[in-house]
Amino acid sequence: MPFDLPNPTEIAVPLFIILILIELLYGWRTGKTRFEAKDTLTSLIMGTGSTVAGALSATFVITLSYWVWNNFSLFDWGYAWWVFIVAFILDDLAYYWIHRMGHRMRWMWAAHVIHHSSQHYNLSTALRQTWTGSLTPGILFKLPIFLIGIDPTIVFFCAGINLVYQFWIHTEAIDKCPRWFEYLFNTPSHHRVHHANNPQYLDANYAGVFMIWDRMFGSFIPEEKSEPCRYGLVSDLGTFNPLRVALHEWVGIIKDMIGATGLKNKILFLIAPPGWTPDGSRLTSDMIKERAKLLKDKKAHQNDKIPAE
Amino acid sequence: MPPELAQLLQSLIGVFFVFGLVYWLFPKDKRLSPELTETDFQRLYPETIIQDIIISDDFRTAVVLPKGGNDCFGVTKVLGDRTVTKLLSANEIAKIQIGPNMFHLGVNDFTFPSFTMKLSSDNYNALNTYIKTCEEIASKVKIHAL
Repeated sequence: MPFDLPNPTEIAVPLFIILILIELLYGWRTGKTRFEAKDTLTSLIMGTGSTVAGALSATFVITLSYWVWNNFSLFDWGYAWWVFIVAFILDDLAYYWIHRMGHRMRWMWAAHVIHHSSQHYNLSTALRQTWTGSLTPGILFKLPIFLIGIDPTIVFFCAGINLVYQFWIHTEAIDKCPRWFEYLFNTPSHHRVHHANNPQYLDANYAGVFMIWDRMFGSFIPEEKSEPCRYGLVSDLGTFNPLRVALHEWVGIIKDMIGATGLKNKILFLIAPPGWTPDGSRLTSDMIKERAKLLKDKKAHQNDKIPAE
Repeated sequence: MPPELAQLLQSLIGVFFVFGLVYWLFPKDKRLSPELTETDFQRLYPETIIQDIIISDDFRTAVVLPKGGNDCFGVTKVLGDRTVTKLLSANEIAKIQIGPNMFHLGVNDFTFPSFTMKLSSDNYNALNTYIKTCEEIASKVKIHAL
């Protein structure tokens, strides 16, 4: 690397604090955004813990990335300005798939669930980050970028900018952005849908920056005024204890794997979607969506039968 | 002091500053409302018709009794203020201990191990009768006196 790159998240910390304070005052004055003290405290502690956990696990991630780049890269991309743009787009695509798998594979959900565990949606929720991300296979989705030859330092820099971008979209204070912006980019409206636990909004809008990935891969759902978002998990957490928040899904996986009969079921408890069980006794997001759709159809059918006065 | 430690301390000061500000600025109503409980329950069990909602003496917990009597049984608890709640279904409750005017529920959940509901005499009698006559719940959950 011919020059040093700063850490975008470190630079952005004062901006994060200023924006949280602005949202707090806006919510206090207008009542349009809500904060709950213990919920906010948990989010902020999770954010602080995440930076510590990230620093502790950085050596492994960096070593693996450079090992792949040094030994297997196919091309030399250099450090021109346009390489940064290509890296940013490819990193955002990798992020999309990491994020999507973070919702569809319980192993990766165990790390990501933390970010969705708040029943509030405000800028403090953006800081409710995982402590155990490095225990998942997420980095594998970025290896192709190193394989084609882009310096990992550039990719990590772009990932930092991506993370900073995603901070401002965690708010109810902004309704909709201009249409062209809503089409191309991830916005507060799109991301509210992603955090909502309403059945019709489950498993949608995984994008980091470019909304185009959700439109391309069929996971885009727009926010409907008739269906206000409710935030949190399908089955809410019931604790503000940071350790329980960080580890509850890992404990659940271990308990399920120990209790499962047969190797296949043990592995499926790790890699199948959250909520999967061999006997179907719990609900996956697909089952919840299907059930909600059936009920909606049933209600519509009943309404059709009622004669108009 | 190592710079990493200084940075961590700085972050923690920031965390508690924001917490203090939120605590000071935002309302801390800890009471469950029947409407909130109903919405919570119907979000998870939209097909279930509610017969009654019994709210505890301190307004922090509520039991949702479905009309069918055996499909599910919901318990909601307020955690922070009324905007943060936990809804449990019958299969998440490991045991019910019944004492005078109170129910202690053991929960089969790492994040939420147990809690106690204090009820008025009328609510206690209604819930006691409901639970004891509901064979499906009784077969799933161990019930015993405290």
